[in-house]
Amino acid sequence: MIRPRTFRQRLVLLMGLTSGVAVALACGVFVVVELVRFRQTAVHNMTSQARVLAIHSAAALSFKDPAAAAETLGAMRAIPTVASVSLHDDQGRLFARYQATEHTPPSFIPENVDPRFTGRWLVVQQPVVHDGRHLGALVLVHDMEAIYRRWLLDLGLAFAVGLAALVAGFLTAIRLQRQLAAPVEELARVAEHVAQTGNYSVRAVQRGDDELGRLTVGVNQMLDRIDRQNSELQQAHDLFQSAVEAAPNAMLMVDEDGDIVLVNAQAERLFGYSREEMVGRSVEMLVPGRFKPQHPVYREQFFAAPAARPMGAGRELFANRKDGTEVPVEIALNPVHTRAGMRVLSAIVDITERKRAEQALRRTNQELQQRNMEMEQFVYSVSHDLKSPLVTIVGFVSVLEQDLKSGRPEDVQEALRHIHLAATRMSQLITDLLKLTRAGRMAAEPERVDSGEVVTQVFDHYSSYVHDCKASIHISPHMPILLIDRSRLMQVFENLIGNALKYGCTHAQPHIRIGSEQNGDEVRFYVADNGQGIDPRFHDKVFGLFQRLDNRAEGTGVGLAIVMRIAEFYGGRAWVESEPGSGATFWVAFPAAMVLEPAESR
Amino acid sequence: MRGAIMVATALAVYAVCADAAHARAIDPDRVAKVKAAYLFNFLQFAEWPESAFAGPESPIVVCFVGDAVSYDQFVALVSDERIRGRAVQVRRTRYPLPPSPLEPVSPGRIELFRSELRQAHMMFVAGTEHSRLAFILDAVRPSPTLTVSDIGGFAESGGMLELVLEEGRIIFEANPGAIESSQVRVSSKVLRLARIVGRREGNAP
Repeated sequence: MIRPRTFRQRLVLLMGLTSGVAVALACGVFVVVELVRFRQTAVHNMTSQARVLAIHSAAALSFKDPAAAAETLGAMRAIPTVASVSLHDDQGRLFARYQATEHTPPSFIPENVDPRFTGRWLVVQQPVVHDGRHLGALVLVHDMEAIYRRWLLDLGLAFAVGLAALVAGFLTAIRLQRQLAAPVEELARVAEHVAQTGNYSVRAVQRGDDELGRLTVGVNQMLDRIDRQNSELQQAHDLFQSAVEAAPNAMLMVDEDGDIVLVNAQAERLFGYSREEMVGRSVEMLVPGRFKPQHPVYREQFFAAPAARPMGAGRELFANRKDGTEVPVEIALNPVHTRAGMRVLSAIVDITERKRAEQALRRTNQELQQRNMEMEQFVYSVSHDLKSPLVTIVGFVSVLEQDLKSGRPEDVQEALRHIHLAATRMSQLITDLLKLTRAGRMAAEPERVDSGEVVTQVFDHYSSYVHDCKASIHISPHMPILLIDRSRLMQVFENLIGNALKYGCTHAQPHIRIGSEQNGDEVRFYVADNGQGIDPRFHDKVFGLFQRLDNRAEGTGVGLAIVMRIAEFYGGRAWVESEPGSGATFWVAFPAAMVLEPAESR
Repeated sequence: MRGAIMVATALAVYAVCADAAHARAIDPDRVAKVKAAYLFNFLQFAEWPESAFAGPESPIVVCFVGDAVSYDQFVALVSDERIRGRAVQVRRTRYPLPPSPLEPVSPGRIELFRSELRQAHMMFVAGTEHSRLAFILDAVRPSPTLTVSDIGGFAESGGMLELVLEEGRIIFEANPGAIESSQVRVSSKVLRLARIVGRREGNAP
């Protein structure tokens, strides 16, 4: 048996077999009924014949007249299919007989039996009774062969009709199945196409208005709806996605198990992980190690009472980046109810910049306070320093008055000299103060300045001084070229070299070295002397205003403050390295970006 | 009981036939038996109108006229039998004898004999009544009485059934005319077995 593979084959087989079975059943029933009917008719006829014969044989049997009986039985000659008739007396002995066939028909059975078929024979046994008296029995044997032959003909005919009907049924089925199978195949084709490509835009062609046609319409409507819903869903999804993507903050969506289900591009940028590296993993991957044990607890607390709120409640929050660094963050949590369960959408803001700004503000504030202090100190110092020459002047003016009264000219001379010195000093002080205020303000346009040349000019300026104290000078031949305001750089070196000469000359053989080095992102200049040095306690103080470590020393105490201020103006710094008794090295550093040509290249 | 009788009858017939075939020696006793059996068979294949009986339970009356050898046999045969629900009552009679040779028979006795005959449904006339046969047949002519006898020429002379001993076996002759003119109906099956005589109706003497 061929197993049907396609719907078409099934249909053909179904219809063909149905009609075939029906016809076969009808033919079979017909044939069987025919056989039964043939037999019944034969039984009925032969029983009637036997009964007639029995009645007519009764007298012959009673009067023991076998000849008469044989004559009666002989009447059966009229029915050629009667094979034999035999008459038996009440003892079962054969009394008379008529036989038309050479075959040996079945014999008499003493028991009174119903008509029976044995082989080709129908045997009818009829008791001969008269007036309630059992006289004997009559056995009529009917040859069924002719009937069976006719029945076989019927059988053959039925078989032929059945076969013809089966063939006709299959032919009809093959023709009819197209009408049924075509729409089903069309539907199957569409369904497969949709299943394979996910393209819901295809439609099945409707054929006819029957149930299959309605099914096609229904499927098409379904496809329409799915298509529409799909695009709406896609739109909603796109909208959500783009909203999340367009958010200026990093966004993460986390499910109740703490697994990341969604991230946006900002999150990738913030954490340094790619989307694929984050989605599906626990959100704790982004929590710094020291907070990790606590985080799931906070998470469960949030899911227990979900409400939009900022995370951390005043604590400072940090996120762990892929490269191991931590970022200060601020996180807002939003519960999102989805069909798959509760989600939390967290918006994460990198507050590094804000922190930095806060720190800068704090630093500026400190600086301002420092400046304020410095200003107070400055005002105090200026007042004090300006006051002392004034006091000198006022004192010597009154001395001068008395000397003028007393008329001692040498004394007058002396007093005038003191007044002059004090006034000069005051004037110097004011000049320096003006320079200091200028150092903190906007400088002139920077220009290409050879630092070695500036140093040489400064020494030219101090040449008499160098000569007086017999100092030996060593200037490094490798000095860089900077982009800077020339006068500012001049001021720096004037102050540093002046300072070195002033304190270095206390030594028997003063020696001053000047050079530069580039270290990382800054270029440094040094001016070293072999003077008495500075106690480390005062290293910071020396750059303060009016800080003179030795009151006997000359100077206004403003120079190093000016150096510091200029260095800071350019984003650099100034410091001192010194031990008491072993000289001092003053450093001033500028950002390396200001270097046009490094020292080594020259 | 009935079976036994039937067996006996059959045996008797068989014996008679066998004897007839082989020895031609006729045993009168056996002949009487066969004749009794024939008479019994005639009863079975004959029918009477309902008016012939006083009621549904009334017996079939068989009258032996004269001295019949088979009387005893017949009585034995039918003693317990019922035919179509009726018992068989066997009577004997004879033509009344005069009280003395000098005196005639009184008409009253003759009339009594006649009425006895008329009451019978079947009458067997023995050979002894040969001389009074015409009277006897005439006596029962209007009544439904089946007349049987073994007197030679009985059927020819207006009797209905005649038993004939021929070649050692008993056959019977029937006079359909006589039967048809009476109210008794004898089954054609029986008549088919009989040798038919006296075609003409009213073939009486």
